[in-house]
Amino acid sequence: MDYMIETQDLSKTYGDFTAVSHLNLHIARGRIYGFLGPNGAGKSTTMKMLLGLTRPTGGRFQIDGLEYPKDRKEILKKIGSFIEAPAFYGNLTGEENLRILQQILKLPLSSVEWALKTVGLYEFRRRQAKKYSLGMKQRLGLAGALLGQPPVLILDEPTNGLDPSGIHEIRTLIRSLPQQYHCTVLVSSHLLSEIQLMADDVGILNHGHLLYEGTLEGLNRYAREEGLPTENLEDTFLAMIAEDNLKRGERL
Amino acid sequence: MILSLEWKKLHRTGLFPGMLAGGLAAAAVPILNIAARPETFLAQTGTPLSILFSQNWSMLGMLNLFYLIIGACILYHIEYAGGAMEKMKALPISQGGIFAAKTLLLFGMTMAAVVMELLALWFCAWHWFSVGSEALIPLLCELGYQLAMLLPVCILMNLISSFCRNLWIALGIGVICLFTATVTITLNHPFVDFFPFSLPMQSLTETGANGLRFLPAAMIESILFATAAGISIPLRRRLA
Repeated sequence: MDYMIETQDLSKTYGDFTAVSHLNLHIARGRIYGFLGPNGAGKSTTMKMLLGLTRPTGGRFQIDGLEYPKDRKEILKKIGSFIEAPAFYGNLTGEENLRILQQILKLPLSSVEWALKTVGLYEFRRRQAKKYSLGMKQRLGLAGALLGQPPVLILDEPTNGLDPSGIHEIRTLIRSLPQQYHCTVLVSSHLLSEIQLMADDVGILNHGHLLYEGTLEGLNRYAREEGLPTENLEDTFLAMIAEDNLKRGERL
Repeated sequence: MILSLEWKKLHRTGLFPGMLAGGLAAAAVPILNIAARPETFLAQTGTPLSILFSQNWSMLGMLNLFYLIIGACILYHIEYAGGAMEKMKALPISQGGIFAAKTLLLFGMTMAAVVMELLALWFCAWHWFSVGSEALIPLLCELGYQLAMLLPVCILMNLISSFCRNLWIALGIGVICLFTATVTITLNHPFVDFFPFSLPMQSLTETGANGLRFLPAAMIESILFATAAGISIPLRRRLA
């Protein structure tokens, strides 16, 4: 299989706390990979490691055949990212914010207009980013990630703060990206139902350990074999986490 | 490219107009000072420029430092306030390059303020002491000297600011250092004299050849702080 992102025993520890442990991800080219896990499972840490924002304490990874940390700059050129919260210059307008990114990435001017229109922020492009609502800031962050249509998109809870119609819009947009721009998407979300509607493949993480990786259909089969609920992804997910926590001797 | 990007980031922060206004306000100090009590100035012995510098430079030096501290704080505050710094780290752009461009911009804006102050001093020398173009060379030397004295503080303040997510912490450190320099400058102790925040409070015109000993110190401090920035910026990413 042709993998766009591959990790081998990727680990991150802070003192005696293990945030991510021996993670082996296999994200296929042109697919949407949903990254699921409760708070503190290590999703954001993993995404930060893929972006070089956090240095792994063990293991390695490749993105589009490029090895970290040797090809860090080349890797960053290929990734559009949105991590944890929208990041922007509050004193600049939405358009000016994107122009900064466009200049750094050496993209054509038209890419800014395209990104603003794609996330539905074009009519507010001349408003200062600090005056945007949370949903608009979220869209701006997403526009920054989509700028130049990068081959890899890493999105950490991209629909946070959006209203239901905004969530639907962004979900539809993300869903259409692989077909339209042949990109690979790694997306995390707390809204499990959303991942179900968006992703082709899922990875379930708990306490830094990967509990499951595969297709959504495969997850159903896996749940049946393990005697877990299969009615919807949320029940399966919660049961998997509860079982893993029990194995680790935690109280629920 | 990075320099023009950093310039664009300053849009609507008011930093550049603020620095210009600050430079103009500082330039007004010697003019108002001599206009208010010309007889005190004219009765003093010494060259016109040394009289003007001895009466004004400690204040102007302090103002320059104050502008520089505020400027450094704003330059990094815009990076931290909306989380833009995190985005920059995830882009193929060098953090060291960003630091260098910010330092260069801050240095350039401070230079503009110093030029305005020196022009004001020249005006005073011309108007009250009838000194003409002969003041040009000493003032140009003074400009070069002041820029050399300001460089270490400029790099150090930007480095402090780059470490502080909270604007008030960087500002507090800067103001404490500035007050320390202001209070201790009269002690004439080598440690105090070579304190980076004390350097811009001396003027070449006032100290003469004695002031030249501060030039190598300023150069060494600049290299030291630039090296510290060069080491700490990639180190922070590695330790993240």
